[in-house]
Amino acid sequence: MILSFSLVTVALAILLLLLYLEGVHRSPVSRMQDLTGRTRPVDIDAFRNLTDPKEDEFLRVNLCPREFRTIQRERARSAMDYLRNTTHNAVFLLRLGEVAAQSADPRIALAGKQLIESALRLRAYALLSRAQLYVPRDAIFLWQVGRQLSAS
Amino acid sequence: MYPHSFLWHFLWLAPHVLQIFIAVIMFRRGLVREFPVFFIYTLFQIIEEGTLFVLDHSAAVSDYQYWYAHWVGLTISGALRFGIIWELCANVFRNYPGLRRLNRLAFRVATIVLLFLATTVAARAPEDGTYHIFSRIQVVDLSVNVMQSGLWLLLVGLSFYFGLSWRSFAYGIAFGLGIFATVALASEAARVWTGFVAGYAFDFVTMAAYNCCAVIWLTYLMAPERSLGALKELPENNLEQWNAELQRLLLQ
Repeated sequence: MILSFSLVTVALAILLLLLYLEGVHRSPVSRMQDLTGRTRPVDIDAFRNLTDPKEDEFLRVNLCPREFRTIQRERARSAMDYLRNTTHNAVFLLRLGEVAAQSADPRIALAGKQLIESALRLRAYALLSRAQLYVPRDAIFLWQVGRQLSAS
Repeated sequence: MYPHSFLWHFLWLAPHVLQIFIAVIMFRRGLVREFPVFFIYTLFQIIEEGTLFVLDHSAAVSDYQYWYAHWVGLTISGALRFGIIWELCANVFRNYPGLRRLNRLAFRVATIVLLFLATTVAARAPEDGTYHIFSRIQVVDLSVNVMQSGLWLLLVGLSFYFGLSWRSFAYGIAFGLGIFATVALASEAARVWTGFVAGYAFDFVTMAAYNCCAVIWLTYLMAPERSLGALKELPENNLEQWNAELQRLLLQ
């Protein structure tokens, strides 16, 4: 019976995803004006700072462990927000890239293809980066220490 | 066979009448070359269900003969539906060469996992106390639905995550078959575990879902393709900087 319920849940998940996609499919972006109000602000310098290992090290040395963990959690959350916004924007740029790739002007068509590649690469990297940001740095640190200890 | 009601006959035959129109429109619009497997599937469904309808109403055909014919049809249409998933994948990912490798890997892994899951489902399914062949047909159908729903979930999930755009008709095929696979999975799961009597009611649900599916295909087929506007310039963006930044983060 558990198996039966699991299968029904999977079926519902597919149905909901399809219905959601139907909504997305009906709101196309094909002109520059379509971007207005749909993209979100992102600050790459702030993101760089939030994910900088030197900054992590500085905080680790200057804060007590408890404070450090709290700050690190907040930094990871903020980095995640930036990542979410930039991947959100990438979808709209991807759409414009697709329109541009169909252009009769070869210059625009080439730029469109490059935009598509960059946007897809960003979405793929973002998927892996999210996993990296979700795993606490302490866990990675402890795992590395454990590996070194077992090797020695 | 059982004396069926008018509603039963209507739900059984109506989608296949619509499929005749679908096949004709696809042929006329030259979509056969783009979606050959879906076209073959459409033709097969028309012929198969027409044949089963005649067998169902023929006094010379025994229950066993009918169910064997049904079994053969189910096997072929199940295989064709796998073909449609592959065809849609190829169609959707054709314009994104950067994702081809990821797509291939994801689908290989998913197929292995789903095969394992489908085998587990088949092994744990109970006999329903009717004919052995009838009971096993439901189980095989359920296993095929598990695999197909999983692959749909992966295809739709991947294209949703990457924000890939679909051609209208490709999306229509996926939308229709996705709904059918979803309802079929849920009703087959419930049917296998509740037995034959309740299973009869699920036939109506599955047939109604297939009707919706045929209407969706026909609607998408008849809707005009969305025309893309002409762009004269592209917006400034810092995607490459972000990519470099994320690469740095991943290599840390």
